[in-house]
Amino acid sequence: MKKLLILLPFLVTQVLGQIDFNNFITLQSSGKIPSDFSDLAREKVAGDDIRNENLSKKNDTQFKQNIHYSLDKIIHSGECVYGDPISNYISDVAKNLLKDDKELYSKLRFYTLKSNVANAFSTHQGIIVFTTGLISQFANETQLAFVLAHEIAHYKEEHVVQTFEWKTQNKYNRENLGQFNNYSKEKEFEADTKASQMCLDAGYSASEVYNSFDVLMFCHLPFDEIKFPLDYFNTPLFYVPVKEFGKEIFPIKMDEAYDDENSTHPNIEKRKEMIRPLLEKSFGTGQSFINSETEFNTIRNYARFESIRTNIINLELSKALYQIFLLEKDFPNNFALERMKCHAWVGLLNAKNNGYWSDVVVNKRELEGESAILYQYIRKLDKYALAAHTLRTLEDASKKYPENDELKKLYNSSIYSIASNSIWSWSKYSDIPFQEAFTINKETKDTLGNETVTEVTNTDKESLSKYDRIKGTGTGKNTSTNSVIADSANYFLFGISDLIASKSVINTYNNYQIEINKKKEQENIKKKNSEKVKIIENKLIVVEPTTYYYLRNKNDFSKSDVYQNKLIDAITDVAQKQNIKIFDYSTNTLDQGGTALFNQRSTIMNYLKQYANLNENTLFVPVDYELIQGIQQKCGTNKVLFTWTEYWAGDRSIVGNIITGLIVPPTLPLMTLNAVAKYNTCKFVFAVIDMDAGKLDYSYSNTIKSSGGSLVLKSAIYNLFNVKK
Amino acid sequence: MIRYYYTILLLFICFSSNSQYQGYFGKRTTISIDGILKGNVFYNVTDDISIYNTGKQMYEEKGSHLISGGFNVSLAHYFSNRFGLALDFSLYRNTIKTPLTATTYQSDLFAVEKMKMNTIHFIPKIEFSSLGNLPIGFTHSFGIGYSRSSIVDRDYNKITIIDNSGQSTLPPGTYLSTFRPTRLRDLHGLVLEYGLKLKLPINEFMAFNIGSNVRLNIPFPNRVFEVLEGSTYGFEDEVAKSMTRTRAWNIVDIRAGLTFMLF
Repeated sequence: MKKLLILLPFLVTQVLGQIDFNNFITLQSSGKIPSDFSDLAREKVAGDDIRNENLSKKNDTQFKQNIHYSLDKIIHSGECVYGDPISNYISDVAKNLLKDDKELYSKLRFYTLKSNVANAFSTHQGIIVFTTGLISQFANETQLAFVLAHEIAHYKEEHVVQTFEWKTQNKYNRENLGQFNNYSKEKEFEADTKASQMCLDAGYSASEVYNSFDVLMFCHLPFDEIKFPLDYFNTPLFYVPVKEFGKEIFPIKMDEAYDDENSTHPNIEKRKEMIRPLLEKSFGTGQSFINSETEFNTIRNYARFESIRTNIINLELSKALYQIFLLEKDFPNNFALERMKCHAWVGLLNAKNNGYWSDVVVNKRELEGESAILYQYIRKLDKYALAAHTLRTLEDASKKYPENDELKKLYNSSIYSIASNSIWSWSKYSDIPFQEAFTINKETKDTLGNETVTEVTNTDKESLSKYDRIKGTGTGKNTSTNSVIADSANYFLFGISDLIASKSVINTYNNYQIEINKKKEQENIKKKNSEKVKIIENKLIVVEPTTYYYLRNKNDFSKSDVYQNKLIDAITDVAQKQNIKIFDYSTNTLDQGGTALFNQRSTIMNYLKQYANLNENTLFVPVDYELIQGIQQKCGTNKVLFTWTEYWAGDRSIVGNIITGLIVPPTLPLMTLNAVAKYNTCKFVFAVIDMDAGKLDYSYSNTIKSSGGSLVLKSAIYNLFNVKK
Repeated sequence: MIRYYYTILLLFICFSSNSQYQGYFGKRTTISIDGILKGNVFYNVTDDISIYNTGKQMYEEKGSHLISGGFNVSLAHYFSNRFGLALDFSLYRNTIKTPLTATTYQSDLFAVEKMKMNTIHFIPKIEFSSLGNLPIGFTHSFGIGYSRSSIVDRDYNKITIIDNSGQSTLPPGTYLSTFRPTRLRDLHGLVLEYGLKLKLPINEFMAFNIGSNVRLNIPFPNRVFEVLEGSTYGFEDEVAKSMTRTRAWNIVDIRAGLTFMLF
């Protein structure tokens, strides 16, 4: 109940159109669930009776299967939302663009994908999807409108089916890839031209349409380019010397004429050249915003908050920290940013202690622009410096929000991570803060260092966009203010002096050490059956099983669907006999469960995605912590079953099997059976995750020869439900 | 993208799997009952006797001992999804050739009707499966066990063809008397057997089996010596040779039946 009350203000303000960023939670779908989401892919294929005349019947069926099943994978990925503020805003912009073509507007649907890949796409069915990564990069409404118009043009001109048609007619392969790329580029030029005209007709600014390509050019960078202040981490208790940040500059690469030979899209220079003649007549006319600028900024900020969350899930933690810094100037003392900052630091610490550090830091080759200074700094941190940063951040946040459960769990997770590191020494840290150490140093005239700290003030003008800053139309000044002499050798050792002095951290660390050692001992001792307890007691959350049916090494969508349903039926059937209540979050239940179920399902899928990136020596705290708590409360269980199966059906050579049987007579009956029976390779993976503890409770994987029949599936599920630990 | 993350999770789980083998619906011990059909694959390749006494008349017959039948009971326990141990008991019946025999030099030439031979096998086995789905699915088995063959103890019809005066009896093939073997010894030996079986589940408690076995019968050494180099030319020795030959040549069988999941 408490958790619902926490979420309530956020949800209410969403409905009313205002967003409470202080209590930001991830984008949620709202309204009636559209048929795009509730109908199963095979139903959509069966119901799609529009015949594409230029395709043969077989190809037409293949085309429909491709478009419906592949889109289904995206919209049921847990990342796609409908009826959310961003989708609604895009719909409003589309209304502007198509004010003279209401019929076309009525055919389109707009959804948002929570992904940091800056992309938008349209489908043959009239669905247009924007990623939050792209939305966060726009400088104004016109740029968004141009991209939207581009996608509408693709749909209107039926480019998707034309491309498919080209591939079937020209036997698309490696040899004619160049031809295909040229064909695809023509379509892009066509879409750009039509989009430009659409924007001009709608009254958008011609020069901003032209500048839209800046978004494509620089979307690999963070959503803004602000100089990172070198005193950012400094607090009364924590100090980082300037020299730790390094002096190397990482320029932004700006080559619009890159080689596009192997790309389906023309390079930026060519695209600009194509639309320039159309636009330059209208330069200086039109508006950057037709809808409310405030609304645009709100939507963009929503996308930016979402982008931070996505980076945390994807372990792009340095990028998350820079983005948090960017947003902090507009959202000072924001709780959501504070908690996501804690998630990022804890994630970095986990990575360091569990051996996947290189996966979470930005590669040196990718260092570019203002953010590079922070990324470079983080790359160099050793485990003690990292721990100091993490614990300092957590401690400061916990003081501001002492009752927050999520922060407490993050705190424990960080100490658990340190405790799982076999080589650790708290004695390295000082129990006196650096200022005191500095004072002592001054008095004793001990030479600790001779470093000057420069406080940097960023005076970039607020009105400049990221792209203006990159292209040098803005100015920034560095101002030296106070100079402080301090130790630069081991600055971080003074950063958690209060925690060392109070011994709170060390006590918690010792408790976790005991727990971890006990667990290791238990793993070496054979357990007696009498001590075992069932993994699954009486309730279980079941997520969409991931099933792949391969026919001749190719994924057969419709058979995968059928196989998936067989698996869900097996789970439901066995659960019923075992008196286990199942909370089924598969797509089969969306029709009845509606938007609420869809949102919960998406939350769980994202939980699994974030979990998949972590090591088992981690106390996992999901970034959607409050939402996960809500689901656990609703279902009355914290156990979720994740299932993955693959079924490989091959061609069966009847003659070959019979011949083998005749050559080796004892095998003849079996070869005959093998020739006619459907007995193929079936791979299972089951995992039961305890969402509360953030740990894998049980896992089972096996590869068997099976007909894939229900009994085999039911046996595997039965065994899963009766496993003891 | 979602598949990428699920792939990572999949790999992570495969490496950290802590599976507890539970068998088929929690059952790891099974009992199988199969009917067997065995074939003498070397029928008539080396044999030269082609005249038989069916019990009613002399008859040139082929194939009556080509096929034999029986049943097999197997009790198995599986320790993992790829390995188990089993105990097989088989009983099957062959019809063996009985030779035309003269009791002594210049004495009667007679033929005894085809005799029935019972063979039992008692074989402990290892069962394994390369793509583990035990106790169902494809199973290989291999075992070394004990074999015993014995002639069924009853009266057999006997036809004397030529009497001790050198004259043929009236009329040829007339049934004249019965013969009860008294000196026939059981044949003991080792048997090595390899089997391949497919168990298809029917419901939670049963599976249908179909399979095939191949075996090598090795009589105990002293018995072989005695049969091959018997100093006495006698009917019993010929029967023993026939028994050994039949055992040796019945090397392949096919079997089908049911497996019951016990506990």
